[in-house]
Amino acid sequence: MNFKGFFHKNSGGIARDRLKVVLLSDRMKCSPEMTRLIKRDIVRVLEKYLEIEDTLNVEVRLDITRKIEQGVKNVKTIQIKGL
Amino acid sequence: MSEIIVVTSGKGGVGKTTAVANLGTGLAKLNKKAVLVDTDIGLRNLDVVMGLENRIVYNLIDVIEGNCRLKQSLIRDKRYPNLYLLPSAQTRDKTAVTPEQMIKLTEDLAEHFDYILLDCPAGIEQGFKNAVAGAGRAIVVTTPEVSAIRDADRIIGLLEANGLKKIDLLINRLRMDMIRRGDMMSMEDVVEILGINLIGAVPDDESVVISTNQGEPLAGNDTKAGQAYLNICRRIMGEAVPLLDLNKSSNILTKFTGLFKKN
Repeated sequence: MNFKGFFHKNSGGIARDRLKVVLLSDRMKCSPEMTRLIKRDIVRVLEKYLEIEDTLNVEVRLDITRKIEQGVKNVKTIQIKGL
Repeated sequence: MSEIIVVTSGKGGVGKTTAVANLGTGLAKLNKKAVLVDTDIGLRNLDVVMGLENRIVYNLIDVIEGNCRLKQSLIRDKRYPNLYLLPSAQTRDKTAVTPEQMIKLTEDLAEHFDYILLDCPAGIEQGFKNAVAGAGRAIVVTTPEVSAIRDADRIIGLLEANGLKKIDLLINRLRMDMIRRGDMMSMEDVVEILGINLIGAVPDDESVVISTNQGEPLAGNDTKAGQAYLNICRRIMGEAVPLLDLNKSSNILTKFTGLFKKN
């Protein structure tokens, strides 16, 4: 029993998770920071037209799909909930 | 029928040159006629890993520029009658060669050898493009680290864009003790992430450092790494060889018996 692993994730698992995010960004040519900015801008646009209050619940789901050389499609989903 | 295989990785220091030296040695031990071509112009290293550094007269650039005949430039490894090395030039840089010239060179070599192994330089620039140009098959070397795997993924994309169909993965420097603790990505993790065929895994073994120090590749020797490399050679030749159980090396008993065997 590994007590260290009880409290935080093993570094191998951390590496695997980080790698998956990095590779998806690389293959999509779309970084997590970029998706953050896209999210921010979409909210700004919506705010121009909709009066977003607590009562109005808007949900936006944006799928960015890129076909890469391997013939596999990579999909990145940006979800903006509860504006 | 001969095969032209480029050994590449993107990232430096993951063991491309060591892999080429050992795969060449292993193939020669399995009675295949093999030539190792060092395409890392300006940063020649395959010769020292092979222990042939004192026998170089002509190099790759000499052949390409017509200063010597192809046969003159090939160094025969005296330990294995079927193994040859075409060393790189140390005084020039990657721009001294074009992809077209590399295609011509590998075609010429293909007439005389079963296997042509190309040791690719790190990076994705001219040197990589030259090395890949003539190849019909690729082995991507990586280690179980985030940076190396990221580069490997990029390289796989570039190889596919270059029209290479047969791309295999070699995972180097696996440490079973760390994987068991969960502090290193496992073979399965790496294969799942990169999504290409695994041709073999080589454990992180002191014997590899020792063999490089001595200039004697260890493929086929009685070490875990030596056996792993020989198995990879068999798979290159098309045999179905099951993966080596790397866990065995952690057994104290086998470690001890291994100690006595060496002496």
